[in-house]
Amino acid sequence: MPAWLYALLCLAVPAVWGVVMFWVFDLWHRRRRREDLRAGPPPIDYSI
Amino acid sequence: MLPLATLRVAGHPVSLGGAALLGVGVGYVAGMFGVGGGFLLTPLLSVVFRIPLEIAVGTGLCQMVGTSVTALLRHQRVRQGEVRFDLVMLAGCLVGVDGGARVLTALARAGSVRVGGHPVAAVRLTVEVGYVVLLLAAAAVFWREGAGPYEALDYVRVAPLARLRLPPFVDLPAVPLRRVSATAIAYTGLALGFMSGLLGIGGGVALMPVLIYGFGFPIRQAAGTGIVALVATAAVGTVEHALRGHVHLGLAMVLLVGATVSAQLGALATHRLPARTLRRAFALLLLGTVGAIAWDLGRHLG
Repeated sequence: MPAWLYALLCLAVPAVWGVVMFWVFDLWHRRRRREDLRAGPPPIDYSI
Repeated sequence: MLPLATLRVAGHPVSLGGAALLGVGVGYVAGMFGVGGGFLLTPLLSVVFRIPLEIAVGTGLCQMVGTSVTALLRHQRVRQGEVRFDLVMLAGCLVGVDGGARVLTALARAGSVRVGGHPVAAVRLTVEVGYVVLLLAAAAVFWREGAGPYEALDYVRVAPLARLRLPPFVDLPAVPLRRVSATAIAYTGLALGFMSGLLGIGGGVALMPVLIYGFGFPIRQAAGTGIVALVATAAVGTVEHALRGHVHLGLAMVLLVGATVSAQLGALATHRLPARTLRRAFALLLLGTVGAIAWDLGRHLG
């Protein structure tokens, strides 16, 4: 394999993994936040 | 017992399970303390797996591309830090990382030097002594911070770099600081880039004290600053080292997979510990790493 192609792979493969992991954990954090909100007390109704 | 798969890195067998475990451990610590973990990964790759230091540095930078891209994308959501500082620092970082990679290659080719009558590889002596100096300085800073409530430090900071009168000047509205020397920022980038290219660290462990004590950044802004420069430095450092044959992509990916998953667990553990305890624990971790490096250097010096 040419050196430039290997260097490109060394850059692209971990970068793509980093992007995928961001999406996966972002989704996980959002889901956790949604579940926390659902499990918590209802919002206070200040109109009454 | 199942035979464990091994990778061959520069002729040295590296257990796949051991490498994954190292990635998990470093990732957990990185997530817990909010650092990249390069300062831990590179020396441990060399000490535990006996990988040549130039390969450990290149491979560490390669896995850092993945962790820093994730950090950058998360940073885009939170929008902390001063991007102007990153942009001014960037040119210095890129020149510095190139210089560091060239010096590392030259040291690897230089062979051995004699210290006290014992031959030791010039690259090992330089990189390990560099790590000891850097980590001892960082440990002293973090230990001192752990001595009192962090907020109190805001009023005693001297910020000598922010007061340098070297033109041109740049305003940093997010901090906020006015008329800060762009030359001082660029040279900070040069030093950090050089350390990245030579030692394989992202620079967070060195940049944080420089931002807080050198430029007088509040902790929240300091934590978010430097990520853009970190991604660029890791990318350029990876390419530089890969072109010189110093990167093992397979090993980098094994480390990266373990590190990205465990970093999330480390970040969750952070919320359960007081900030002062965390800073003191981080200082002790740095001292432990210094101990491992010193032991390795002592072993090679006979």
